[in-house]
Amino acid sequence: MTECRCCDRTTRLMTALLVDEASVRYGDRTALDRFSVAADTGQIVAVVGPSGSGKSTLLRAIAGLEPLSGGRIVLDGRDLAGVPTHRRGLGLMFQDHGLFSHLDVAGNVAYGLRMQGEDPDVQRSRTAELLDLVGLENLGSRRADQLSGGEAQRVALARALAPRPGLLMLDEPLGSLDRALRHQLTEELRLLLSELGQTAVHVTHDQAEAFALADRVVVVADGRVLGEGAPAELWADPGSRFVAEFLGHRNLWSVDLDGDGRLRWQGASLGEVDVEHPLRRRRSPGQVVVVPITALSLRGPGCGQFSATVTEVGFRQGRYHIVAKRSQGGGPEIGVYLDAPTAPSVGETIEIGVDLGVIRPVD
Amino acid sequence: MDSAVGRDRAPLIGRSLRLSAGVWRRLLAAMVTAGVPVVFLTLLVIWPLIAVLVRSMAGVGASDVLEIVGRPSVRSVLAFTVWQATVSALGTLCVGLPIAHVLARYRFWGRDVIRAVVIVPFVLPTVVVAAAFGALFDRFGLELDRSVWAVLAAHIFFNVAVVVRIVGGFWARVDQRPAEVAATLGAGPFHVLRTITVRQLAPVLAGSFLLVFLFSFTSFGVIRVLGGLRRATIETEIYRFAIARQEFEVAAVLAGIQVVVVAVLAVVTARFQRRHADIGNRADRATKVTTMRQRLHLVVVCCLAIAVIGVPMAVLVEQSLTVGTGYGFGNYARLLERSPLLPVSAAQALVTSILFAIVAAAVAAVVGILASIAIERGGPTGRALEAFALLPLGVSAVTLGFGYLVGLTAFDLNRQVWLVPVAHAVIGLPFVLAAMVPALRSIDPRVREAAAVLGASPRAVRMTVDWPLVRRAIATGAGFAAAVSIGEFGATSFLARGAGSFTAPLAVFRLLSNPGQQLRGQALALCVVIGVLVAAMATLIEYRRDDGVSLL
Repeated sequence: MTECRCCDRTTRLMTALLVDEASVRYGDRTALDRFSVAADTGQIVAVVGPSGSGKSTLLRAIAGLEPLSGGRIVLDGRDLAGVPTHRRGLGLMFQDHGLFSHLDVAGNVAYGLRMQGEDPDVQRSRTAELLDLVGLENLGSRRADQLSGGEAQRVALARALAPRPGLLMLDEPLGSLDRALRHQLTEELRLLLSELGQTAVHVTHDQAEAFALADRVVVVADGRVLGEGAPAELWADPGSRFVAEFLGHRNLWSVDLDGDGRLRWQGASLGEVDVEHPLRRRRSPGQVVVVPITALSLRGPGCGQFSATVTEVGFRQGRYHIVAKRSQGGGPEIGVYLDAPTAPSVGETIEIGVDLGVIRPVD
Repeated sequence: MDSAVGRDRAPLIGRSLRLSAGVWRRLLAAMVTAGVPVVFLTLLVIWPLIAVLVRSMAGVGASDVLEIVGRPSVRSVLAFTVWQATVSALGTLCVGLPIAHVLARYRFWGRDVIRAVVIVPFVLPTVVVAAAFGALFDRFGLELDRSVWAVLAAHIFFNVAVVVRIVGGFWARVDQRPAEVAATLGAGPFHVLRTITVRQLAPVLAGSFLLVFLFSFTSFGVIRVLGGLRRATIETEIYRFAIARQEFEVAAVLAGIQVVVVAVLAVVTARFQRRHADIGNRADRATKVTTMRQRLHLVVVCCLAIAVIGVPMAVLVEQSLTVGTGYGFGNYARLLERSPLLPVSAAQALVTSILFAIVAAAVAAVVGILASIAIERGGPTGRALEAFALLPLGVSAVTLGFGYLVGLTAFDLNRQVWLVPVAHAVIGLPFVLAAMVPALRSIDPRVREAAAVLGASPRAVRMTVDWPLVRRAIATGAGFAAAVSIGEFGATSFLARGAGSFTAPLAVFRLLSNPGQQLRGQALALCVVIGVLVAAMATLIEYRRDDGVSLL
């Protein structure tokens, strides 16, 4: 596929979606608490958080399936207050896909066009185009309840995209699939959406899926935004302990910075941090920092900043993953990657070096 | 803050107008969907029952009630009613369980046929079944006391479907892992059955026992045809006292007893059904027959099923074709002739029955659709509707017919011809609901939401999502309502007046209750015609039925 066949919208606004301090309450429980998020046209925003964090509520509120108790939602410059669901021009893809079991695949894909009152010929050609796009060109007459999990997801995607929605919403779209298929579909989805220039909000509890798919990641908990940014940025500087842990950071250290800018941790001196380093502005004792696993490396004897004892050796995705402890008696665990053909054994003492430039303070 | 005011001011007026129009529309819709069924049920179910109860309490004092119940004749009727219902239910379990087991456990050629055949008796009209068993006992010259054994056999024949469907359906889906674990721990097939399977099935076994007991307890047509003068149950006594002897007080007391017993049984049965509703939810696990022993088992049980279901049917057909000493279609030809015994020809009675069935099915469908929408919406009205709309299933048709006689006389409604199909609609309503409500509830709200997001207005959601998914359920429910109407005998006995409401089951009964070989042949021929008609409808419904929609 070399050319984009589907985006014929001429007017383009920079901000496609703006959720502005939106709140949703169920009885006295607040599912969304003055929640703000924005998506530029063509951008994929992933909203990621543990279950019950309010991320599905966000989609339901955007769709108009849940009334707002405060704030506003603006889509392509139009305030959606009072606009019923069926006039919002959205696409929605559920985890369990919610296909119409009484219609065949083509009937499912054409449904939105039918509701728009499109000409039957247009419906047919657009349906064929979409089925081609998701790689199911031969399945048009298959019954919707006779599809495999991956096929059903593709049909749900085609159905959501067919009416050219201003915003595509993906609610844990790949959650029910097995791992290998999920990886494959994540990749396909990313290519497809960027090719179409489709604005999308993607909700998931799986941070790996969010990072793989999104241009921007928003971490939520208890109906509130705790951190957001481009995947690499957010990973490098999560800002808070919760976000760091949620994204899978394991090395959260409590460090002390002395007057000369020397960093101490667990009795070891890690060296001097740069004058420009963000840690310089926060010198409270016991400041927690996130040390990305990539900042740590194994050094030769005498060359590391501190030594530690190996407690576990694992092998993940082509390299060793070593867990070590600062001292025999306990202390925090340290996770280190090792790109080497052989790994140290449990109980061995290793020397670890730290790249101080990439460590960041967290709240 | 002022941006919010500026933003909201302009659309506010339009929105408030639109909202109020929407509110009005919704209010009107709620009034129609809940109001029509509420009025229908109040007038045609609740009011007649209240009339019966009031009559049984007010017409006579408490001491008179005790006096009536204490009469030896009444006590023996009560005793026989309970005895025959108990024996019928036990007998049905004995015959039904082996069939249920085989259908649940083995996958074999003809399984679907056996399953469909077993369901047929349940929809056959009571007078047809009674006539078949009468013919069976006559044909083989059985010297047994026909009034007892033929009644029990007919009840078992009727209700095998209940056991096969309820127990069998559950058995096929019950969790097999405990049984497999027990086998690995050294339990033989018999021990597995005794220590694991029976315990897993206990709630459904009890539930289906109670249901068969309930059906046999309220059996009317079978007892009327086969019981003769000596064997009476509460149902037939209500009829005898109300119609033949015009002693409304005694009939009302008996009906009161009937209503109370049925209500208690219905509540207990519903409790059992609710308990097993959520356990059995696994895929069909039937396996192919492998060993010789299994094959033998399968063949024996299938022969049993065919014998139990097939032989009475075959004898009915054979006897209907018997003319004098040979065979011929004489009995069928005579259906078209006028007989001095009947106000109209038997064929005309059949036409009346079919017309009534169409009207009854249509009324039941309309009221049922409205009611199921209200029930699905929930709330106090919905819950009350659900409870009351299922009432006719438990309350016997005889009690209902008697209630019309007592309750609607005041409005002079009880002499109207159209009351018969309307009463049939009341009796058919639970079938429509039993098909509709689960179908509506099974629609995933997400599917509706997906449709709305794709641009479907609420009306379009109803037409493109709800309607296609429930229309088969409506057809199923209405079809069953029609089948029930064609065979309805109890309420019709009370309500039919003159030639205009003389239905086919009444004709069968009238012909059978008069002596004469020719009349008997004619009755059996009419039975075959009605039976074929109803069985064809049931098979069609069964064949077209969605997996989720079943009445049993």
